[in-house]
Amino acid sequence: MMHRRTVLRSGTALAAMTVAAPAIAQSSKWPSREISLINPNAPGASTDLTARIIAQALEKRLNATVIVKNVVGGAGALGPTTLAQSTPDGHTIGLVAISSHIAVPNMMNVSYEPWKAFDIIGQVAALRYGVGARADGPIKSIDDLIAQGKQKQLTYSSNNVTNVVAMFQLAKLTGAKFRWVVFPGGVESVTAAIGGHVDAVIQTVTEMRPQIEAGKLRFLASAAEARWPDYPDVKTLRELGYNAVTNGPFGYAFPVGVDPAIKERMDKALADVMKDEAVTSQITKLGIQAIYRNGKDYAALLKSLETELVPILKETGMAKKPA
Amino acid sequence: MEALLDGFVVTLSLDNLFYCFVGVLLGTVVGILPGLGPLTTIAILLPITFKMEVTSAIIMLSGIYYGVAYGGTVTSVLMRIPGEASSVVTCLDGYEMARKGRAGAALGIAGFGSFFAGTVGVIGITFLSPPLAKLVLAFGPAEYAMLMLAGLTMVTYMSSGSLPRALLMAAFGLLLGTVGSDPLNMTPRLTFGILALGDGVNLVPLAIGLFGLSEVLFMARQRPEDMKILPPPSRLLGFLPSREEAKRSVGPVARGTVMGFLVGLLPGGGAVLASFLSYGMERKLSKNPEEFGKGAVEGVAGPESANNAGTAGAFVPLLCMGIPANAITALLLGAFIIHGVVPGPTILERQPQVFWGVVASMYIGNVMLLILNLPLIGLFVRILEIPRAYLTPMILAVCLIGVYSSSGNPADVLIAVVFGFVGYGLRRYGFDLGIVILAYVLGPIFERSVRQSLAISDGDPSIFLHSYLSTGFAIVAAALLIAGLWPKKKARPA
Repeated sequence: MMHRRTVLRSGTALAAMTVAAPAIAQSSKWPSREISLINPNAPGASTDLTARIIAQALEKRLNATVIVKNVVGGAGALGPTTLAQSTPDGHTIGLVAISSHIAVPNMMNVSYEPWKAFDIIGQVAALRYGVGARADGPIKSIDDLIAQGKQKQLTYSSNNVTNVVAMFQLAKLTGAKFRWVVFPGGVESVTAAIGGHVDAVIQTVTEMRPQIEAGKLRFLASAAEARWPDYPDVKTLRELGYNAVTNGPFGYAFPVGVDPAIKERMDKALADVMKDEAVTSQITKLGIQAIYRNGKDYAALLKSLETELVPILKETGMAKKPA
Repeated sequence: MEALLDGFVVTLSLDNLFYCFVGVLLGTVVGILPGLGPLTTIAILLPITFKMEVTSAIIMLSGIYYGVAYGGTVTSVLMRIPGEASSVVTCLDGYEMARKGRAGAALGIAGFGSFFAGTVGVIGITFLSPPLAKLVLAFGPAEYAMLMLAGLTMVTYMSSGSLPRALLMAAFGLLLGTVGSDPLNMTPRLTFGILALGDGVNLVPLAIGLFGLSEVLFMARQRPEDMKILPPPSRLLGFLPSREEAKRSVGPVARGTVMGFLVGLLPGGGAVLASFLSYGMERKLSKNPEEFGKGAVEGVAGPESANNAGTAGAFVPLLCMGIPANAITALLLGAFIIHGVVPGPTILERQPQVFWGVVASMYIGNVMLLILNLPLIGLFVRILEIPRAYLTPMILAVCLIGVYSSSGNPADVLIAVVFGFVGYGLRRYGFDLGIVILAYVLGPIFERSVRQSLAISDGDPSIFLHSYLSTGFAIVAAALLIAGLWPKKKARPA
């Protein structure tokens, strides 16, 4: 088995090299046509709206058209698979995140090797998570949530395995019992919580804010590393004494084997985009944190998150069965 | 009321009228083109609106959304290709009407029904928004499960043939609905390791295959003398339904409007579900159920009204609660937020001009759509005068392009072709395709909500009777099932 893997790997590397050779000649002419940005989420998703903002800003700096392609399907696997299989000539980039590198490869059989298939350009944003409960319900604080979770099993809603890390950690740290009820979308999750069908919810600012503003949802704690700027009084779970955080970073990558000269120009362009006040303020308006990390740092961040997520995938029965 | 008048003042500015027109025109075009849906269109146009004034932007994007339900009918009736998911069910009777030379009448009724339902829907938004919005919250997984169960029992009424055949098709539809990822723990099911099936069989390739492509195959096997489609009346007002047709449409339009609006309110509801439920309901209530599937005007009037009312209904939770009922309204919510408007109970206090401006624009937009669509009917029905030898390959091309453009995924084209043959085979042996689609649409929602309910209750099934709402739906489901399975009395002598 090991042996076959190695052969496969070197095969991929060889293929990448042969494709990379003509790419070098192309570097002076790059970009010679439009650049596609592959987004594995549907139009209108947070990542999609962000991608469209970034694409517009990249166009000016690269002097080329950048189009967002929603390659939706395969329960999130189609986007990264398409990216990994596309020609590394610098005209295809795509979203890389926890889904492409950790969740999807651990949940189903994919044809790419997450840590080898991509040349990461950088991180552009992080989703901000928070824990909430219905405003007129019995849970008024994180302490209430934990205390009641120790007496009986509580339920909470969320739409994605990436989101729920903080709740799993909180349960482990305190011994409280929380059961995750999966909903198909973030807004459905929030709605279920304010309707009293589940006891709590963990979602992003974008999805929770309208209901917090309306006074229907009580914002218990920020599940991010920092407090939400719009709600400076609400503490993070860490500040409340529980080392529990949900991370939701996303960024972009080339398929592996892109000409280093092209990669460098793209790296610079993205770094410059992320310095642009107009871009970051538009992203911030979506309730998303505009954070820039270069390719190396972003890859390291993703790698560090793998150790948190894999046990949860196993515990929820989401991890694929070993073949 | 005064606020609404202020809204009209906002909308009646030259700029906003223009954007409203652009929106509904685009909506109509997108509706006509199979595959290209409102979701993609709005997403593409969103960055363009960044520089526009907020009310204008929302007026235009909303126009696209509710305009779609008008245009979607055209190809369903004329070519048996659903132009939009919400017009899938119209293929069943609309196309049969066209074959009898009543294409104009079918489109006319759909147009008037759409206008009536759209306008009543906006009136609903104007006066009923706050109380209705509360209903949305009462819907949890258990309520959904029982509502879907009631919907699924309609299968027994939808068939023109025998009950076992209907159940067989329902089972096939349910099976198709289970392909893809498990709704709770995302385990791939029945995907046979094919990546493209990871999200299941999509509605667009399935519907276009079963209805559109199977029709092309049928045409290919027909003898030339059987292929005649009666030419529609070419008079100027040929699209007007006959008195008899108009009379039979009144009830379905009214019921479709009310039911569509209510279904539109529900998260995950909206136009598609509304049209299917309306079709099932009309078939049950009709005095001539045997005509369904053979060109019953009720089968067009009901669903085509319901989908427009459903579209309008979806605006209520969006504007008043900030809760989008479906993917398209979720995208509109994103558009609101980018423009600095937070929909929800506070919108009426903070940005009343946006709320009432959009509502007023919907009154005007519906009038525009009626004026835009009725004269076009005369033009559209002339498609039927194209000789079959040219029309059939055109239909084939439209089907395949439509499927490809819906997802940009070549595998979907293959799926559509496979279901084209499946649909052909099933129709050949007299099976009812409407049931397959109904079970396919409702089944996954039923499964998911049942499992969510049991996760919440820790396996205790009494959760399905824990509220008046879910108990009510359960009783309706039981009543429908018993009535449906009851041995039918012998036909009374006429």
